Amino acid sequence: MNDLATESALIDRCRKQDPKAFADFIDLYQARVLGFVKRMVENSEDAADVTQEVFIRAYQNFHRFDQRSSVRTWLFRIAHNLCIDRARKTDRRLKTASLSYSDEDGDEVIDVQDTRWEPETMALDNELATVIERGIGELSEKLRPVLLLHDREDMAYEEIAELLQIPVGTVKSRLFLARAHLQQVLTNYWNGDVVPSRKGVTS
Amino acid sequence: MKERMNSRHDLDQLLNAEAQQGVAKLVRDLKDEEPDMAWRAALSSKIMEQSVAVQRRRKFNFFLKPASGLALASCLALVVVVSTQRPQTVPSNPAPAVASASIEKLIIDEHQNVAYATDVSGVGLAQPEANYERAPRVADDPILVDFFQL
Repeated sequence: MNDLATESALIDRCRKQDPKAFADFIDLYQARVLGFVKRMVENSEDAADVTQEVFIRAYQNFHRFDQRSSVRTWLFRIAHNLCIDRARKTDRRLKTASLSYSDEDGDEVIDVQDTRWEPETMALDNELATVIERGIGELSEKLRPVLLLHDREDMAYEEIAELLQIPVGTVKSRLFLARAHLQQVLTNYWNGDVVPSRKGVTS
Repeated sequence: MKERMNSRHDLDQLLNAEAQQGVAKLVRDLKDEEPDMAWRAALSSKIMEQSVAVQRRRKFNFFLKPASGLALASCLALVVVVSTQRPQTVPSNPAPAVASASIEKLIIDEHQNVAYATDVSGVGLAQPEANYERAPRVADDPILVDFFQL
């Protein structure tokens, strides 16, 4: 409650474009936004630039923030839009997961076979983390933000739906497909089909 | 409708499956790197630049708003003044025409009087003593009828 009040006071000061308050706001969100952007943008230098741009845009437009959504949703919406813009500017061809699906209305029946899964045998060491990061990088522009916002940022389905302007059912189906793809990547890794390289993973 | 509800229910069940939750946990446990100090310093300087720009804009607006209000009020006043003067100028246009017509008439009358006085009375009579308007007309006075023309 106290944290909420503190954050609310901080947001009020940020809306008045108080630079000191905004510095505190940056400290609060910089790692999370940078993590999100790094996973959305391939180049790490681009990610650093885009993250700076996210905070500059937030500072410029904070007085327009009407608090209808949470400040986190608002900030990640800016981040998501800038990542998409950057990807289009650099004409990046995002690799899509090799899963066929249709998520236009969110009510489709998904037919993805569940593979054998033994999470208790997996510890998140550096190698495994690299495999997961690689798997996230392979996700499409549509699936990746849903996975990151739900499983990294712990956002609710409704919040993600509002942020991405898609139905809740679509959020769920995309989340399922993203996780299913990662599950496949990890299973391949576990079976020895994928060997992590120094920089990433090679098949 | 029922199929849709079942589909949604199935999707929730699929998302809550052990395999899906296991992946979610692994994704959640990924570490985020803290941005380095150089990045943060660069961002702070950019924000300060923006802050200066915002303050400049506020000062500009502080002067611009009253000035624009004053300009607007001046324009309104000008419009009001012009619109109130317009009806007075419109009827004043025919007046010179009337005045010029009366001047022409006076000049013609004067000329006729002078010519009449010269013709009728000859040299020596003061012009004011003969008046063209007071003179009897030929058609009215039978004495002055030109019998040669009859």
